[in-house]
Amino acid sequence: MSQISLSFPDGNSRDYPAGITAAEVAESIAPSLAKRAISANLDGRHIDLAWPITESGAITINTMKDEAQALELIRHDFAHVMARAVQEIWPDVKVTIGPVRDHGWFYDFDRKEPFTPEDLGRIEAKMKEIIAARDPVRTEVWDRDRAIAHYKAQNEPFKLELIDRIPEGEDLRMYWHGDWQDLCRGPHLQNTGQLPADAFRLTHVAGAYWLGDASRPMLQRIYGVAFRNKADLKAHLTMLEEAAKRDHRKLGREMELFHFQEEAPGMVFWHPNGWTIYRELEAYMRRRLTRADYKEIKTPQVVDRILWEKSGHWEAYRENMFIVEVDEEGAKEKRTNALKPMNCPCHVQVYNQGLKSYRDLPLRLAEFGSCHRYESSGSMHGLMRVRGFVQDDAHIFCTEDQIEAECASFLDLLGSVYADLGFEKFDIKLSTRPETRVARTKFGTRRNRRLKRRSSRSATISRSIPARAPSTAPSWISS
Amino acid sequence: MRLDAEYIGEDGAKHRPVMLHRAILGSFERFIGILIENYSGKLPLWLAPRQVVVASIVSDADDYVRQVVDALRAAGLRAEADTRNEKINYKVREHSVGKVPAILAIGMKEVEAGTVSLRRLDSQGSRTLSLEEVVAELSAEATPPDLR
Ligand SMILES: [Zn+2]
Ligand SMILES: [Zn+2]
Repeated sequence: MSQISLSFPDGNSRDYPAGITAAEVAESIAPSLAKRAISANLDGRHIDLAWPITESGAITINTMKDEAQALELIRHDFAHVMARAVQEIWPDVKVTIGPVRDHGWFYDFDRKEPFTPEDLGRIEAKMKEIIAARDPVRTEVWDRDRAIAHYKAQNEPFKLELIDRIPEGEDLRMYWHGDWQDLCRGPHLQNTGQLPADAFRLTHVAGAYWLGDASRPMLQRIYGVAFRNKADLKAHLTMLEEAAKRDHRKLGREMELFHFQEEAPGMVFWHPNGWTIYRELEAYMRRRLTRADYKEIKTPQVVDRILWEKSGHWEAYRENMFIVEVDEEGAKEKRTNALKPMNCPCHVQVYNQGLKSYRDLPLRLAEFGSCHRYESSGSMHGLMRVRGFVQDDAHIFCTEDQIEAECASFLDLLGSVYADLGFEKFDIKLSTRPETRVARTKFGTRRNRRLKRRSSRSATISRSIPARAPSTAPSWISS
Repeated sequence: MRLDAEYIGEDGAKHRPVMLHRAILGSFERFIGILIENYSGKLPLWLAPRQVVVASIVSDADDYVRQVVDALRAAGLRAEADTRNEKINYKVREHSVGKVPAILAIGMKEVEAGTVSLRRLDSQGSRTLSLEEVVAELSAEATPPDLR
């Protein structure tokens, strides 16, 4: 049998026979470690303790102290245990997929009757029984035909479709939690008794289309949350309660600020109270901009597609734009306009009126600009994500040499406004050049370097992220 | 932005200006959502939509309630009268849910003395102030931070 070499986080390495498991490696280091081990990372890949290791690499043995790995395993095992509980209570329910997410997991089921809150209680009780039974978890690699035969016999059409989507030649792994079997990539814990019976909660049920496709069957998605211990679960549930009390949609109703309705999704109906806040904030921003030597303008919302073609939005951003067609008098064809998704092209039109000299620069054009962007209905969230909105937008036209001073005074203004509005501490994220973008930059890198220098002087940079364009805070510079 | 913009430089030649894109709030809609959640609805007085509610304890106080509202409005405050035939505790509770920062309760004692009884959102008890005092105190607090 061939030998492999495994290196450890402390820098040491040892030779082992190929095919050794992470559990055996842990045992060879210290029996106490083997007792606490729950999984391993091999060259960064999270693997089962029982998985045979056939190649050399860097290995780390994980225990429940390793939060990220522990939570991933706990939440993933909970997903399987929940699906097993559901099928033990209702054997006719069809299973699909159940990934780990945020603070827990979900699993999608095909069942005619809706799951009720009482059902969730029954499922939780059954899950606790499964945990108490300390059923072993094991895994096998199956070939495709065997897996297909198995799921045909079990009458699990969704699993058959999943197998169909796994690329030819890729291993199919099966996991058993006790006698309950699921097609899964893993990794998992060693037995169901490792799950904290007092640190999980099934939170709610929602509808979800199979594979996210609205033309496919609607399934029932059960959500759960899980932590390593009861105290963490409690802290999380308390945090959720607090957040629910602060939710702006709830407060918006109680304070009679605004509403939304189906006839205008993602567009705000401001009520007198909400509109008062809006106007007060707008008046404040207007004073701040005037003091900082900005000139306020107002540009059209409905603009011919010709301008959007010139600006590049028609090509890059078309599917997010609201289109307005108009029968122009005497014209053979309808005129196609778009509601502006951003203000930049219109500001350039204002700049371009009349000849500008270096003495006119920097020229700071500001607009409380009404923009419209089509967002999918699923992504909308009260005031936080809307289709019609007003930006406190401005464009500073300046020379290369003025960039640094303009950025500095902008950051000062930003900090002062945030402090006035109750945000004393904030992070600035520096976006570097996005991969797809409408604007074209010259000297982009040099400018980014200057910006970085500037912003590290004025504030903390939390991290440098590649931007997704176009965003609500568009990349700073274009020419 | 693929739209041509130019300026004449000191050298008399045409140059392309740099265009800095900037926003502070992002969108008013989203920022107001953030403000509401950040303050749990209890906005500072200058941003609160309904800054003061003047509530009568007995209907004989209604005329004086309207006088107080007028005085507050004359000082630029957003004030409303609540002269409904309801118990004062009910009115206070309702306006607290609506996150009104200041409630002035007016009974016959206040009418006779020309005072008001000021209750602030989330604080127990009330303070008795003259009409001039309460106008001065609230309008100072309602001044936007950039004008202080
Ligand atoms: Zn799984
Ligand atoms: Zn812009």
